[in-house]
Amino acid sequence: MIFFMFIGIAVILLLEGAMLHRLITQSDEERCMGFFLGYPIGVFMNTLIFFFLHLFHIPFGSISIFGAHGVWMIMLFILLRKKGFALFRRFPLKQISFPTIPHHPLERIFLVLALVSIAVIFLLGFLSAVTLPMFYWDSFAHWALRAKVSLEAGSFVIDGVIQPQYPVLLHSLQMLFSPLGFYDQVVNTATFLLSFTTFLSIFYIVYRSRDLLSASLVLALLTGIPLVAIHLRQGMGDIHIVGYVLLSALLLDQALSSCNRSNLLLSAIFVAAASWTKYEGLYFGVLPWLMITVAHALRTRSIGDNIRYGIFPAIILTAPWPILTLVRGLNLSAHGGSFALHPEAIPFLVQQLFALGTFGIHWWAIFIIGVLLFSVEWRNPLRFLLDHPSILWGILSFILLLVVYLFTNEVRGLIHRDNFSRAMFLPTLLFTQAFTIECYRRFYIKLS
Amino acid sequence: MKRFSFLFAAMLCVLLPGEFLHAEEPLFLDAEHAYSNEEAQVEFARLLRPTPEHDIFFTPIDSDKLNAGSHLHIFYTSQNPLPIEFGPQGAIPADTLTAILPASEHGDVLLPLTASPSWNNGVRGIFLKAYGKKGEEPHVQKLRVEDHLSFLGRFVAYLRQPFYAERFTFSTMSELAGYRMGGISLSVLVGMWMILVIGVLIIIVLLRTKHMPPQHQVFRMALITCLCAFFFIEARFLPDLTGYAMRLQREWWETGRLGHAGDVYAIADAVHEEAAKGATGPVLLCKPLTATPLRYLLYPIPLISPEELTNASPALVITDRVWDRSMQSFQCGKFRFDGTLLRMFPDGEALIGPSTSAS
Repeated sequence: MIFFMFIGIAVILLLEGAMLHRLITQSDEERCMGFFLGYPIGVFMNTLIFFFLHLFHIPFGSISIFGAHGVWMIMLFILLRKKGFALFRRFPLKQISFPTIPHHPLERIFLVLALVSIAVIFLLGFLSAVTLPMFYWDSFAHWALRAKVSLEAGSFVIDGVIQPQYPVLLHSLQMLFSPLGFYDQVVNTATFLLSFTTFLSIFYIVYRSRDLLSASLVLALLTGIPLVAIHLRQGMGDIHIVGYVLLSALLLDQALSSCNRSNLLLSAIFVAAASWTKYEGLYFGVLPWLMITVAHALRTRSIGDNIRYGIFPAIILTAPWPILTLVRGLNLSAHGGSFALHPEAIPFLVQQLFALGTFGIHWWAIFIIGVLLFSVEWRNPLRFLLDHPSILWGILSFILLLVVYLFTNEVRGLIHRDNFSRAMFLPTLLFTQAFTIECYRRFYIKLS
Repeated sequence: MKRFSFLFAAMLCVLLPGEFLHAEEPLFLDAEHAYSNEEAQVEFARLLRPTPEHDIFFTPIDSDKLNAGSHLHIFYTSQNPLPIEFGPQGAIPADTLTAILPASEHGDVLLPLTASPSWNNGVRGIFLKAYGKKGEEPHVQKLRVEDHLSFLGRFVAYLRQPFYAERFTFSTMSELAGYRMGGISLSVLVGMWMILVIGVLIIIVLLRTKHMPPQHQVFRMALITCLCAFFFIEARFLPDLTGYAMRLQREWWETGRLGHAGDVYAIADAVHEEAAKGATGPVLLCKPLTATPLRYLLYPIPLISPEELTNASPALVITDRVWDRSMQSFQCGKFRFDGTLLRMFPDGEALIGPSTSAS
């Protein structure tokens, strides 16, 4: 029974996301993509629903939560009908181009290795989420307990909890599944489904624009970072920030290269969702995203479109929680402190990136590919970066993180090996995704 | 013939591992590469059974004056089995080794340092933590680092080091130690190899054609080299991750325990059972380390600390350092109280009720 109820709630989120995606893209050709992106978008919509229930003092409960979702779905449905789209038309199987297996033996070997690696990592993550209870201190302290307490109180509890400014995407997701009973396995599976669908969407977007091998390699390289494989077992918010940011970056690349408004709007939605997951999403996600979009708007002189479909929606969708936090008299981060260089932390920085097992050999590869790319593009690196927003985003977030960890009291998190590696997820995965696609696109791996 | 037998004897001296040649009086023990520091310490506590009066403690010994070598020779006195943590000085925490030395008045054991991936033959100095109970203190009399390995033995030791499993600890969500060989990270070795291979390939093309290779060729070489290195590291890491996942699953299904979280789930279940039987009121927690998970697992039952005791009368008490079923008087922080022992857990935690007011 719980299984079917779980599937039912997940389908509600997926449909909401798919319908909103359809409204944004306004195209029948994008329906398949809508079903991949549906759950991640739906999870964000659910967060906004919880936020507005809280804002209008409507107590959280099965009737109010599912009533609000029902109203939202009806609104989306009416809007879709008005635009002349039918969501429940036969599934567009023709849109799915079935993969072609590469011919070259080395490509085949890489494909098999990548698929095995992906399968093992997701299977272990799934098993952990479905069968084990809460295990990690952050999920005990920041998500699960606060979700339980908020559900009992009928609104987001801000007083008397650890880090009350912690944004509420994951709490809202856990509360949505509460009619099933607050079982650890249920809420873990709900968050696992979020990681799974974001990475599956990344796979599909790359696959659609390139081929099976490139999509498999990108996904294997992203999930094969040892610390990412650990985080896919659920327990911390960082994996969800990075999932949303990677989706946003992929869509931003496509939006800016082809002046695609709907992709820009979707990119804005995903980066806003990252900021609702943890405040790191605001500082290392939304902030660089805005810088890149503004730079692009000024460069291409398409300021109106960029504001209407990118900057404005991103700000509007991001702002409510920080505003509420400030109104409550809280800081926008539980961290902070004085500003001074901490040179003693530099060896720890090098060790964490290059010499421990956390990132495997990823930073070596990022260094090698980065040097090769910029040695080719040395004549006009700025233009190269503006043409490749994902790489620019990786650099901006890396610089911002270096400033935070080398110049503020957050240096503790680096020297005591506490939260630095988790924060470094963002640039590491952005570089990995962007460099793999870039190498594959520009310098082809076609061995046949 | 005589010359050959001399040669054979000389080769044996060089090639055979040193243990066979030098083993004399000391007891040879294996060093464990403990699964995690937290779990090693739980094992130590189970072994020593500390009580509030005779709590567990450790004596840290750091020495950089000792020679380089392959084995640690310890002379000690201890009336209890003596758990120790040790390793080469400067080793990263994940490479700490553990061993349990037998109780002895004139203990004399030899432990291999090579099992620590941070060890290499040139490293000088060691660190050692000897665990004991207050009032029954062990005494480490003398430490010596000795070299008991031949050239081949050392070589084999280095080759074995990357095969020691990754350790998954409380800090795993923030950091993974990775693999090392002779104290050098496998990531560094593979990273250098990548740079070397790409450099050599570019030079080969340069020498053959007298021109720099075209861009697409350079990037193809780089991408393929990086992918080979990535899959090599994956091939090493994924079996460890799978083993860890299977171990957690087995532990949870068979014992109801889970890694570093230990008995918190069983404790929470026991509290819920007692609450269902009618025990009402807050639960006093005397072990603050488990407060975060227990606060979640017990919700909505309130959990209070000894400092909050003045305004509340607890229905149940969770404390630790309880090993004897006949105990009737318990310690909670600095308070002592009488109660009935309801449940004991393998790590020494206990559920006590009905609680009496603190004295």
